[in-house]
Amino acid sequence: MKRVIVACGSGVATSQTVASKVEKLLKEQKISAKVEAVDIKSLGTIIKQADVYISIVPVKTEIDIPVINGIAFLTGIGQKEELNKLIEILSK
Amino acid sequence: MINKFKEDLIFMDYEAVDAQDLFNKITNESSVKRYINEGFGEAIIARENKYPTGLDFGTHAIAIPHTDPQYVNEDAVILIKLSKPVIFRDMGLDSTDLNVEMVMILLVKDISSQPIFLEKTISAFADYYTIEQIKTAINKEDIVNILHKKYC
Repeated sequence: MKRVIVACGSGVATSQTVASKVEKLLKEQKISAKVEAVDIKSLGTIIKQADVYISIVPVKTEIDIPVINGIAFLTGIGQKEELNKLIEILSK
Repeated sequence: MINKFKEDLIFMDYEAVDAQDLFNKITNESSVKRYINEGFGEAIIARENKYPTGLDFGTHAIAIPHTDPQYVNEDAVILIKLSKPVIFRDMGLDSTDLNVEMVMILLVKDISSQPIFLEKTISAFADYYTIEQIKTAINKEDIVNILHKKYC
């Protein structure tokens, strides 16, 4: 199963919210994937085992897996486009 | 549905020159002090500087500052209607100054209830009609009622 990572400063509020929303949206599209909220501090190690990274905080380090704009899932602005992008990556 | 808005944590026509000033003032309010513990003020300012929380909805912008559960005694939300907009940076990229008129400081103790609550809250505040209703509300009770309807 493909693994999707969402990270925020503490992993308590926004990353959890985005992860649960993305999980719900993917389920509606009948796409199975593991969506996880993580603490930004552990991103470096976890990212190596992930297929997609959903970004909601500015990241200074280089990320060599596809990146999705997570703010779209919070505000709803551009959500459809980001979801389609995510689905395309997960369907590969 | 959980509603974490409380009348004593709603502040109307609040004045602040910038985000730091807002955090300093609000953490000294007696009603707020019951919900937070020592270190909350410093923690939330440091967190906002590193990971800003401004959200742009196109028609308006809000900010949802928050910090670690260790600084919080009880789950709640501090809602602040500012008399003049204060600048917050955008959450995703930290690349834009947003004029924010409404700030919700999330006091997170119980992590498990956060996702549903925050999703509902953000969708309520994304709706410009709701924002207008809150903006024009004269008393705190009306605001709690407006928000309560969103969580039923």
